[in-house]
Amino acid sequence: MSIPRLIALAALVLPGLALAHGPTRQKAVESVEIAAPPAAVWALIKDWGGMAKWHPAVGEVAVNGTTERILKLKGGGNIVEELEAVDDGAMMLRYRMKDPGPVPVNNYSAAITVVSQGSGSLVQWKGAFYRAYLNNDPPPEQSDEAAVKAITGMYKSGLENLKKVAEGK
Amino acid sequence: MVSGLARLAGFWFAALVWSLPVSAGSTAIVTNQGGDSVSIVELNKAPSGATAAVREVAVGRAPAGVAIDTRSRRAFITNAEGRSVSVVDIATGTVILEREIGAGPVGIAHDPVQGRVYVADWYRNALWVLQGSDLALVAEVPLGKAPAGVEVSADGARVYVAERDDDAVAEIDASTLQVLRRHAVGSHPFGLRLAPEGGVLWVTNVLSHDVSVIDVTGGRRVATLPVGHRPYCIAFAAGRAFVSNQYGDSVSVIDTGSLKTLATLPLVTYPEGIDSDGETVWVVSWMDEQMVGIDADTLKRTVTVPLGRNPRGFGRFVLAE
Repeated sequence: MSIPRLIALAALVLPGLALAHGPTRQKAVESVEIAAPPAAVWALIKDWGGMAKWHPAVGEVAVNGTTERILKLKGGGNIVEELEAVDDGAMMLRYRMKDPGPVPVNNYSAAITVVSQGSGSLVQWKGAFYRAYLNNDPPPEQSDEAAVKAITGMYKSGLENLKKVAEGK
Repeated sequence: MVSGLARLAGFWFAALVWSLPVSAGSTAIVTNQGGDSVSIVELNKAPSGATAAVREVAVGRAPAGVAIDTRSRRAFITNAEGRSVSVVDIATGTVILEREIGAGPVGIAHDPVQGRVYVADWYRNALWVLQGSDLALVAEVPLGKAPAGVEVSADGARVYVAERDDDAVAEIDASTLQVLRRHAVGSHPFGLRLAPEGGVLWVTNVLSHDVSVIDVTGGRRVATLPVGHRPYCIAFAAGRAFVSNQYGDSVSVIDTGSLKTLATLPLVTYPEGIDSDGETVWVVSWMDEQMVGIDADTLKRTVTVPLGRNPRGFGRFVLAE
């Protein structure tokens, strides 16, 4: 087992370590306009076990209880996520990663919101997270840049395909 | 105040003079951690509502913490990744000094009595004691794990540091620079602030989602108050404590007398730094890169000011007039 995997495992076993990150939190914010009614787009987003219907990197979703889901990635590995809040009025869903799996981040949380825009919808995905490396001087694959790149890629590909699914194309 | 007045003329000038409160303008200095800069915000109050002028000034890498010397009107900035402290002249917006220090400077506080600057080093588990005038090193005080927020008592005699990964607050004697005692708090204390009347320390516990209220004179915990998800820091105004809840996207308002929660304001996404000039509470939204003003009495939002990238404002960042 590699050192980063050991750290990730330790972070799961010892909750105290999950926050033992460096001091610089990163963010990713992406949005997409969709030519479909907000209620229809929101129905796709709020379906906690239905992410495989719209995110191209997710092969399968297993839901444990009401708030935990395991995203089985097509590229290999699993992400474990916890639902934190669903607000139908604001069309906003908040969640966090309990185990980022192969994604090079720590302490990740995010919100997806749907708002009405013109005759369609605007979907915004905002995430906050730290890099995978827990101390100063990270190796490149566990740097701030690697973390931002991975999450931005996840958002862009997801929103692009969400648009296709919601618009029925 | 002058620039605010200059925009108005004739009849309106006379009207403004009558209605202006004495404390017309405060200045906020907010660290933009993702922009390697600080935003210097001059806040002017006008009858039609508050306005603000913003300048962005480059400092070191990934600035996080901020403290202000109200007499010299200088801001002290910790550059977490630059591993340094920058001194900014607030009026001119120029960096007049930068000193490399330690491994991860984050929390910072200024002592108005001795003119010292106290800097918590996140990675080195220590508190740096610097001379505010030239950043000369006075001492290094070893601390517990992941020291975060720093606060100095009004008389300069005591320094309090949240030892995040030890779930404790260290109380340091400023004259001997020894840790006198440690206060047990909740899980992962981060920000801390002394209430204006002194003697009572409020500490945010990030992982237990609550605030510890400590009588530091008697050395006992008065209360543990539940707040929103992942509280970050605290400000005081109008007999109330305002707590920024990072993951709650909210600000908890607590009566400092009864310790009852009066309101939870769903105002700001990822609120972090929070401070007050006595009338307005200023909250930094890390996600939306702006600062929101909240009237401490009415709890209404008064003004929104754009900031730089990934702003934090960790510390006392408002210079009240």
